[in-house]
Amino acid sequence: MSENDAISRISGINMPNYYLDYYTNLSTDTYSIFQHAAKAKSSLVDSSGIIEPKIAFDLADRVAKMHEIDIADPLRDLLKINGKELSALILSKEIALGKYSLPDATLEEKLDLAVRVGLAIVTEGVTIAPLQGISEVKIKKNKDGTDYLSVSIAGPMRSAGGTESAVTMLIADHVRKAAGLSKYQANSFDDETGRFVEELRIYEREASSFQFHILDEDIEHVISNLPVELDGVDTDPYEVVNHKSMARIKTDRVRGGALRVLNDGLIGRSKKLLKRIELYNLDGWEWLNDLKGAVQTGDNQEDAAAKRMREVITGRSVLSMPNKLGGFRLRYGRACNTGFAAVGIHPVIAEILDHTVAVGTQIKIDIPGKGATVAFVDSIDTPTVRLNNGDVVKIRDVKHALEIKNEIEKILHLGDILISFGDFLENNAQLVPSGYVEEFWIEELKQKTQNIKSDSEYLKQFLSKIPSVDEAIKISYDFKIPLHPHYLYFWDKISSEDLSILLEPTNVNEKLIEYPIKVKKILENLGTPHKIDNQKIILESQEAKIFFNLLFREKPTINDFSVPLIISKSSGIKIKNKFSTSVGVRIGRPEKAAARQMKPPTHVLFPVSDKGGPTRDLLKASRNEHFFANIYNRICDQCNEPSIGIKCSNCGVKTTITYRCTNCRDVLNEPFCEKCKRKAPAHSHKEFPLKTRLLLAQEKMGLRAKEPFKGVKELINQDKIAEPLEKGLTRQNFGLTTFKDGTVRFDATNSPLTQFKPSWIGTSIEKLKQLGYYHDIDGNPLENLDQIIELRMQDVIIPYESGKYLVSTCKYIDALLQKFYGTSAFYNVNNSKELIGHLIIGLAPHTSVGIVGRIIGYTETHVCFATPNWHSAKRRDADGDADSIMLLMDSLLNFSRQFLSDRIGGLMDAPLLVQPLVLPHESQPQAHNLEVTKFLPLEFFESTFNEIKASDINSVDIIKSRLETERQFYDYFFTHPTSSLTTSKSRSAYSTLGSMLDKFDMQVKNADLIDAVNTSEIVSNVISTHLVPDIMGNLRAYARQNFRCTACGKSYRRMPLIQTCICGHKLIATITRGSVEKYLKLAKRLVEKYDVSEYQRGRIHALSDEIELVFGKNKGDQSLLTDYA
Amino acid sequence: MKKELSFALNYALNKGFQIHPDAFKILENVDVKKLEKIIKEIVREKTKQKLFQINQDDLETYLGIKEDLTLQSEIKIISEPSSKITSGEGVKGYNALFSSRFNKLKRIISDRPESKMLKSAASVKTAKSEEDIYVCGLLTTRNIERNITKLILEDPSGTFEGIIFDNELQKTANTLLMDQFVMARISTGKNSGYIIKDLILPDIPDQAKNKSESEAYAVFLSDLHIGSKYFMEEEFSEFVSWLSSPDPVARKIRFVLIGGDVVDGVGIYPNQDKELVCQTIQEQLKKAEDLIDKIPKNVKIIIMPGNHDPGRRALPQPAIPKKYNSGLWERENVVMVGNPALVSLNGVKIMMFHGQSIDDIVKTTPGLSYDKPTNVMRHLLRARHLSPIYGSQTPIAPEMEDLLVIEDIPDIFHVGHVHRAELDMYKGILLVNSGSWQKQTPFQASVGMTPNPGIAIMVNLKTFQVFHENYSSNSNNILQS
Repeated sequence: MSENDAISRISGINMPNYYLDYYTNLSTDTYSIFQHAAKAKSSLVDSSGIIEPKIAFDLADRVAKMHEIDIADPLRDLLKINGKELSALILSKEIALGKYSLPDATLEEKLDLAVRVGLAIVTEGVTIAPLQGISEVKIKKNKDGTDYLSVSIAGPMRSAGGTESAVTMLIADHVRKAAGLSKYQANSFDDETGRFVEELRIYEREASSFQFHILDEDIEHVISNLPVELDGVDTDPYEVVNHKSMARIKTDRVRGGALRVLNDGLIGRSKKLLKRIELYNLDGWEWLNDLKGAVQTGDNQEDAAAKRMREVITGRSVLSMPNKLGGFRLRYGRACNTGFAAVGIHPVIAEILDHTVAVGTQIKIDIPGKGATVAFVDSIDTPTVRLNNGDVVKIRDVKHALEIKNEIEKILHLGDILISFGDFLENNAQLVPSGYVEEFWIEELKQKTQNIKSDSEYLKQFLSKIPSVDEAIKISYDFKIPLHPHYLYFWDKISSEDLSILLEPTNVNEKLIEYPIKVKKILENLGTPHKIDNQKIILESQEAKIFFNLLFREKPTINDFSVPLIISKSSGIKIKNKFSTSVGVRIGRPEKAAARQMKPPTHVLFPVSDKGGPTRDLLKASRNEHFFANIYNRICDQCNEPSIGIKCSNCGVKTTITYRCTNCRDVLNEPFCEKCKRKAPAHSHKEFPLKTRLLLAQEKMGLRAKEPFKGVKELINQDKIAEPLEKGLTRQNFGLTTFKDGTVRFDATNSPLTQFKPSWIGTSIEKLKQLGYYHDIDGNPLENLDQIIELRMQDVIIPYESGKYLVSTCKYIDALLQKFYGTSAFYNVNNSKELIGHLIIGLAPHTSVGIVGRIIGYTETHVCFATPNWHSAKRRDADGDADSIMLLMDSLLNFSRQFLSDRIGGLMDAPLLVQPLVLPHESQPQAHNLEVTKFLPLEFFESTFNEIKASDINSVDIIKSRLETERQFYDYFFTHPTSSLTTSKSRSAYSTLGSMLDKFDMQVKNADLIDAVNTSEIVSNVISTHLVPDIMGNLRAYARQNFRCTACGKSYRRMPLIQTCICGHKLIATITRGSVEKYLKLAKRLVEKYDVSEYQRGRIHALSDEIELVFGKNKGDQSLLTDYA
Repeated sequence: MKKELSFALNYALNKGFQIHPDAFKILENVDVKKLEKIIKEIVREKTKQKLFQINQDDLETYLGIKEDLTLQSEIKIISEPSSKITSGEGVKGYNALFSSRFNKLKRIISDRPESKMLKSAASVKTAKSEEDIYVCGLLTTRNIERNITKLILEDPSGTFEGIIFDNELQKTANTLLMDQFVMARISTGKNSGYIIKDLILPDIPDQAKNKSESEAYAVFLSDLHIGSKYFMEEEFSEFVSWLSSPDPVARKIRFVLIGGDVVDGVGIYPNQDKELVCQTIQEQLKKAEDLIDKIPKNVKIIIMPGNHDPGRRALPQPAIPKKYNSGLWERENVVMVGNPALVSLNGVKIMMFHGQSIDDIVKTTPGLSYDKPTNVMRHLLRARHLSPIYGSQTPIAPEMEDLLVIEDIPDIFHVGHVHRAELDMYKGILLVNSGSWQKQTPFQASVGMTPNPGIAIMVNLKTFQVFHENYSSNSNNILQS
């Protein structure tokens, strides 16, 4: 990489100067880290001599680097004019015709590359599908002797997505035509269509499910018409029965990758494919029109969302049921920490629910669908609760919540949930009518001020402040503006009978209204705060005033109209519907912030087989007189000893690699044995002087290894290349462990953030200025810690814990640089403060591109805050997933593809490429749907009542409308402010609670506390989705279980007749009575205590009887952990 | 009065006959289709005798209603597992179970002359023999690579690994069921390995059949699925009332065997509650009792559980527990047995097994399908084991004795489970899959299983002649044989 490369990448893009500086600095810093790492690597003391992650700036770059083909520039040009798919077709044709290959490349090689590159372009060069999802592309012969093309699909094709995986076949056909090959002729050797039908059904039944359900006739139709062969490698150990040993299908097992392409791709997305085929004028695919198509598993979508809500997971609380008064009320808008699949709830909720939720907790919501993460926003409506003494109180703020927390008996109304319009847009959802919220009122007021000239000045003051109750009533009388939402109750949710009861108080005046106790339920539904005194209900001050003005100045006439209409008519004050709908919310995964470790944790990637004991301790292994390891044949010819580094750590001479034939055991210089005509591997089982090497490494690093110094059992990579012991020693010294690719990682849940206050992130004004932040969002110079500042594209705010971990990583890297690589320290960082400004990369699982980010501060939460664009560059939204953070330098120095398994899927989650810059117009479309407006216009609120699709709304400013302009970089406005990002606890109870039972207990407790949740329903769901399957599953599994050796861990499908392990040790059962009965007592107790169906009760009793008939009557009746009262 | 009945009466009256009121009562219950024929024949007979009154006795004799006291109805339960379950647990139980399996089957195979040359797996390695040697054991592993099949057998001394080159023998090897007992003839190969030359299964020897002395009939039923929406209640009730009809075959029926899945059960498959008309086991069994109540009291009924019935799912299964329906247990003409059971009806031995293992076997054995369950039954007989495969779908409990070994050779082998009624013979044994009384369920439709329900199979225990009554209205729904 050269510095100019980076600069030229951003030249010509319209952006403010400070952004130009920002990107330039990022590029320069990235470059200097590269240089430093390259220098260290050139010492050749490591097992690889080069920096392995490659720099890639954009899609074209990524595709070119990933496939090592020089197409970046032509592809970039193509992409400017055409879409991804068309560019892929054009370019793959050129590759097929040999434009980018060496003259001696075979046609098969060219076609292989063409299909892979084509798919890479379609998947934007981020997934590993093109590398590992396509197993091979071959030219085969039809029965009539003509040549055809065959594409073999492997499991990781899944990462490409349905449509893209099917497009692979379009690309393959396109290059087939270009190469002049014939069509594939199905069923010419065997019944291949029948094979696919059988195989697909077996896969569905035994292995895994698909997104869609498809018909047999469609499968037959597709396979008999495909112009290229869809083949695959086997993925699961299930065999077909009737279609074995076929001429062209090499395996009898199911081929998951190929089936997925067929099911979720070609048939499931046939409509989408047809559109593309028409668009690009591809012929030979007309038969796709005849498909019956797919049925989404789980009926239509709306039902699916409701169904998902009903699927309660054990231990995961349900907070709100869909469309139920008292549940979370939908509020449209975005705060600086929401949007992009993060939704806002009031921090009071977290406090009164004992931190069932925290920032980053994943929740499942039914509107607009899918998952989301929790963010806290304190400018939305708070919950209303009933206290133990019967009083109903609307909680004012967090302080108030903490005061009354222990007196809360029931949460009557949960308050608002803030969901951004962009999330509706992204999910292609229908808008739901908005309740009458403050912003709606303000927009109506704005409109009035334009019409009424005389009093507009008076009215304008209420654009930024809430009117008092008297003012609100006056405004409504005088200007016919509906009653301000602050003084509005859920009049729309009571009946006219309820209203007539409310018209009969025992005592009434403007300051105080008294009711008999029987109206309590109505008042609770209304959300009207009240007091209980001596079996009487008392409304005072504000509530009394509102009731008096609405109900008692002019007595309403009860008729068939809705309650709000009746009251509006009689009182002269316009009453709008405060409620609209409630959003169903249940907890998904808890938030996560933790070091990424291998299982079990490992200090160094060095194999000790079973010599190191259960902890895989290298020190223990080194005490063996002769230690043997199966590792890479790197030999120092001078010392005649094995070496890990390219240069011998003893004498410093460059080492050589040998190969050993597994058949004749000859040592060779080539990876091929001429004598035996077979490949010779570059690794072998040989003696390794572990003890002396450990001593040498300790001496070199000036560190002492402590027990246990953990290695791995065996290496998973093809050549069995190990890591230098020095790396492990240093990691252990700084309390770090390694991931399977040699990097040190920290995982944190993704969370979006567009603005911050310095006080939130613990960074000083001075430091922020050094980082290039000079102004707040209003353009005022940065002076105090509470100014709001817009977050830059690649700046990240990470959890404190993560910061500490990275500081240790810095120290580890500096130690390596100085003592191992023999260069100078780079970081010299002693604490988290000094880490600010350093570069990291973010990497999402299933992808292989690390995105450069810059640390600018820390957060007392368990999430990594960054702009939606940055998360999007990693191919993620904020729906609750956790991505890895690692130091950029670490990934350059210590990552090696050589450590990773060659097996399918081995390259996932590895920083093969590094992307230094994130430009908004290159982001995923999802990031472009982020709303960046300051106000939702009146037009928007009004159109929600028509329940139109979000995509039909044009009145809301989203990033998409700013692309290619300067403002795509800044002025990401929000509609709702918040004063804090978090609550008094940074971790949710879920990540601290231990057992499933504690979690279940909390779930029942929450259900009892929240009025909008039905406890019996929860219990009933838990029984049928968790307890019964657990008991039943274990009971069934008991009588077909495996057995395991207590010493060597070998597993047996059934008890062998010799009755011991081959190693001579005892075998134990994997499932015992205890594991079967784990939840039995709990289940029995629940079916007695709660109102569940007869069927369910019968199931539990039948299971209990069955357990006795399998194990006999329980003699001891020993109490289990789960038998709590 | 029915039209046919008045026609018959007029016919008799016109010929100058009188009909006794008791005889009239019998005629009322006769199948209308047969009425005309009966009357005409009796009239012809009586005219010869010059007797002009038709009385009760005439009809009873003609119809065979008169209880034929010469027909025996003797039930003996030779073996059934109910009292033997929960004998073992965990490692200890499974050790005993598989030792028992090995020993029982080794005893069976030791009747063969080759068994004299048997060597243990451990001693094969030291045996230096030019001649072929024999080993036996449970099949633990089978690998098929290109054109070689590799088998691993296991006995209490250890494992034996051999390879098969012969094509025909490979086919045999591929149909072996995992964990079944097999004896192999082997020789030493060139490269120190062993070549399997022949595979010998315990199988069924030729033997003489037991017969009932009198012509009593037994009915074979299974898979009623009472309580399910898809239970063919109407058809089944029609069949039950046929049992008390004057039909000559019905008159001779003395036994009804129900081979499991009497009720649809509770919690057997996901979302079952939506396909049930009776939501609890108690309700389902009550309904079963009500239906069984209509079977004549001189017919003895044997009820065995299947995978849908309450109790336990792991094999062997105990009888349906009394606590769910004491009425059935207390009924004099009902015998509750476990699964599998060996019963003797007038001396004829009948092996009853619900057939859970068919699922595992069909899935792993080439050439077998759900459409032809009797082929699977042949495999079981050859293996002399009702459910050899361990660790797959069918749970097998760790009992101290393997009760699933087929020790006694039955005269009739009765299986259900797959809802395909089919008949066949194997080495003189009558194979009966008794089909079902449940219509095709949505699940069966989704996996392409077409049952042939509503067929009652009846066997004359003296002649082994088979009859069947088909209650399905679908003309494609026929008994296979």
